[in-house]
Amino acid sequence: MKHITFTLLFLGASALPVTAGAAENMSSGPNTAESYSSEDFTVKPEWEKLFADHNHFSTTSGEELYQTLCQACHLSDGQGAQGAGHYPSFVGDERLRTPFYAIDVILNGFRGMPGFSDKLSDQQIADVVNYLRTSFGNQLEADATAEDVARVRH
Amino acid sequence: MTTSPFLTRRDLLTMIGKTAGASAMYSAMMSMGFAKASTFTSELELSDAPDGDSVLILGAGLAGMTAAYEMRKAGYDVTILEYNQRPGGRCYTIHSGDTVTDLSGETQHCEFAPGNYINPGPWRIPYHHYGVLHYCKKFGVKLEPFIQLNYNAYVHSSKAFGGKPKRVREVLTDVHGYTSELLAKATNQQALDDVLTKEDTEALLAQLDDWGHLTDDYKYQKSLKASEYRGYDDWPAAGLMPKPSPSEPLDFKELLHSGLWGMLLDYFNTSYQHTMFEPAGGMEEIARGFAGEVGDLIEYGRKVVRIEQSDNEVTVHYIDPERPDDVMTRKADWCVCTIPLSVLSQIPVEVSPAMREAIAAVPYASSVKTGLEFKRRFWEQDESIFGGVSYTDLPIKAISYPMYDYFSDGPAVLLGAYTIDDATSFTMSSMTARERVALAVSYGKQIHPQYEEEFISGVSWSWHLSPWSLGCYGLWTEELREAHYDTLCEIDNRLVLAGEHCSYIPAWLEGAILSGMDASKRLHEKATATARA
Ligand SMILES: Cc1cc2nc3c(=O)[nH]c(=O)nc-3n(C[C@H](O)[C@H](O)[C@H](O)COP(=O)(O)OP(=O)(O)OC[C@H]3O[C@@H](n4cnc5c(N)ncnc54)[C@H](O)[C@@H]3O)c2cc1C
Repeated sequence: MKHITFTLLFLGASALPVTAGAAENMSSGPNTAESYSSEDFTVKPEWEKLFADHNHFSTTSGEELYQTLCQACHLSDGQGAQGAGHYPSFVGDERLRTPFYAIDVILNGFRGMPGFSDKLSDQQIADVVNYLRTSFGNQLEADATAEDVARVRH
Repeated sequence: MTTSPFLTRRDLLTMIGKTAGASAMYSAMMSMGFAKASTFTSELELSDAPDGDSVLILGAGLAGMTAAYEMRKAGYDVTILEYNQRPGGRCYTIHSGDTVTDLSGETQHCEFAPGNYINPGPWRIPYHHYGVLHYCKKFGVKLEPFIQLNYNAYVHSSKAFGGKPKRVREVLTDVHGYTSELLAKATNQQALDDVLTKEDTEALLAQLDDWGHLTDDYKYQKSLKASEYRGYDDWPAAGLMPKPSPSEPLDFKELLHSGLWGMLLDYFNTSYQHTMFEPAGGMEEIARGFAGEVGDLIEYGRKVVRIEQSDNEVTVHYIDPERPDDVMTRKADWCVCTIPLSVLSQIPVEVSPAMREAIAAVPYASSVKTGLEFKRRFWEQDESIFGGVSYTDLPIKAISYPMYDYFSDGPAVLLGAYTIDDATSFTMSSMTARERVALAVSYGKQIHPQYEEEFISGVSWSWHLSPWSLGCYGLWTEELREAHYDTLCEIDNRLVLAGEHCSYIPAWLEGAILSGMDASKRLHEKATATARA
């Protein structure tokens, strides 16, 4: 079986901003009045945009989509998480070598992960797949297209 | 004949459209299992377990603890392996003084005043969830009424009525009034003559008149009659105080397009009809009630990592998450596994390929809840809202007021945001808890302007970041059930699955309890048959 070494494709964990590793000391609470300014209690223009439609994601850039959807589980640094079960990391993720794996998972879901075919357009999925392929140390081509997504969508 | 200024054919069609939408939505909910009554009649009377037979139960949520209770009663040697350091799983409460850490590593310290709490997961129990109610009574869990429908709470659209919240009683009365008027009009125009006899017509008009609080010529308008239901401008008083004066109904067109009508639905679904209950002191009291019975069987800090079985026994491999390299094993004759499928689908389990497929088939929903503590009960003191739920089109979706300790001074906690499984829920989940608390205050103050002044602290929980469930509940569809449900629930050799995901009442405690009972019953049948053979 041909084994693909992935070291070429990412910079190596040590070069990444360490946030997931620092999990235990990422303490935010207590979330008390004193720890907020009154500006914090103002609806932000980007929220207005993000929450404009409860049923569809309204952002268009791959990065913004990652930060307002994927990040809910795979976390801001793409490292995934570990509890009783885990969320996979995207850092040096060999499955991203082809855009079609990620396209399929985002459209149709995988195990506990829901599919997003009704909440994301073909272009949005292509954008976020391209973001995954070019972020978290991954240096692949951002060549997924809306047409690729349309071909997988059924 | 006088025509109402508001009536056009288009309005009528829009209205029918909305009504059709509502019933379509209701049947969609039915198919998700949301509106089903429980089949519980009594707890199990299993007995005569085969001599010395042991059962390993994986997960100490309500499904696991129900199975433990029933199987021990039958005479089995029962052990529960649980990942967390507490019983209950999703039946969980964040209390004042608790520290919680989610999968992102973000830690929150709950600074609520002593005795205050928020239920980040389950929070209400329908009167027809007989299993939950039975075990609560049996295990001494004190229940108090949960107020779902408070006529004085709000429905709110940020895009209608200048963004001002409207009282439920106002919207409900106006909906009855305007629909009655339209129907009366259609009736009087003989539009319904092919379905109504003369007697029918008379009976219908009489009842529309009452139901809609209409005028003599069947119009819905400002009147003392309608105000008896929607509320007055000046409420009846005494002496030389102002005389009762009627309130002005909401503008029909604005109401029609506001979305407020649809928000009323959540008050009337059988899942939410009165009487509902909640445990005094928080939902976790139910878990504690069960643990009072079976707590001695639970081993905490056990993360199951592999499940094997042969014709004679089940072998479960587990670790202490603090020492992951040290894999331990436990053997038993039988196994009830209640680990949520979101987690179980990542664990090697020795079952049929079809069951493995079923385990991997069910996606898990997103949900966020945010609890906010305020210096005083301004909703009671300023707005006369005693318990209940307000709904809004804002991203926070709902505000639910505490249903206990009414009139008390000092800090109180309300539910400031509750999202489920839409794009909004995912986006909110992708924020930090700290941001989610700020968001709940920022949006919530559009409904309660007192928020900012009175806010003390908040706690927010995203279910996709819940380390032990990786999600809120199993999102079955009819197609998925057709393909996988029966297989998922079958006994595979010596193993049976249980949990809310093995029920037609998903996302309810009742589903978990019934499933724990059903799995126990069938496993006991198999165990006794095997012993006899
Ligand atoms: C936001 C929300 C709102 C809800 N609202 C309501 C409501 O109002 N009313 C109502 O009745 N129900 C409600 N529910 C549903 C209810 O909480 C669940 O149906 C019920 O608690 C599920 O019980 P369970 O035993 O099936 O699963 P759980 O309670 O999840 O139990 C599973 C157990 O397995 C453990 N576990 C997981 N992985 C492992 C492992 N690898 N090794 C060992 N142990 C493991 C977990 O720690 C957990 O204790 C709500 C749920 C949520 C999330």
